[in-house]
Amino acid sequence: MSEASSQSALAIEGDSELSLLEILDHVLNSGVVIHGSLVISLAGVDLVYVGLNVILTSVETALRNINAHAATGTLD
Amino acid sequence: MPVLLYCVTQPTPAVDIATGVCDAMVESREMLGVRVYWSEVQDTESCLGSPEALKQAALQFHNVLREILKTTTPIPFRFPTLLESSENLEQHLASEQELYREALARVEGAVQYDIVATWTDNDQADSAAPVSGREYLKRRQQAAERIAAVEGKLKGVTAESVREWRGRQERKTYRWFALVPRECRESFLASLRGAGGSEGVRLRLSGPWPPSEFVAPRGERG
Repeated sequence: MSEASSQSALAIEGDSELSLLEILDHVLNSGVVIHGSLVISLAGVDLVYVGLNVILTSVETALRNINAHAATGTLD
Repeated sequence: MPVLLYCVTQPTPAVDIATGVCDAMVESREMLGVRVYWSEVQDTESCLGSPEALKQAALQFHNVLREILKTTTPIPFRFPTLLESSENLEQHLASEQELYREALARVEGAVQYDIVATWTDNDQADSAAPVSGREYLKRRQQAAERIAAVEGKLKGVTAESVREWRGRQERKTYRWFALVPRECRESFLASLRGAGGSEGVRLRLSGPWPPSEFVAPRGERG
């Protein structure tokens, strides 16, 4: 078990570990979204000074790919 | 240099964290009534520019929040929130300081647990699949009744240990969020363990998490 996945988890009906997908889901889909300037380069595309909501959409697209790969175990 | 924001907390002493996203130093500063945590990210392309790198960075981000959560209650920023430089930090905080102060007061001393309900029979079909209007309404009513039954049980058994509940319907599941005072965590978990199973539904608990679902006042989200 990785350090990141050692956080406690409890299945009320049956125990199981906190999964990588749960961690990624939390990190990517929760938290305060702020409006501001941002510089990021993602998947070879430079995105400089764009609205944060715009870049988050792009990141979420990338993460859907991650999730799809993780679900099939190709990134673990 | 771009800075990646982790969270804001009450203006408590800084939590010492060795490294953060992209192995960068985690810095913090008290300003405008809150403490803010961030890292300077020198090369965003190598750090966040591929799915694998982004996944690694997301896990590092999670680890930073987890370390902070051990000591105090953070309000995290959505990953990856990047500002152009640390000079923009105070400017942003100045514009949002009331929001952060109110949210920090609301969640102070508490953590969040998630409970996801998955129905095991075929009646809880994919709510996005096309069905007749009558069938759709029937399924919605059945789902609402099941959710209400589980919610009643959850709230009943944990009444002494939860400060606030929120919930939302997802495509095939229903997710509840419990805001639990730190001192009530053990009793909360014990209550759920002792609650017994609910027929036809699997409940999965995870946490503790930063209380992100409780940042907005009730009614503004979820």
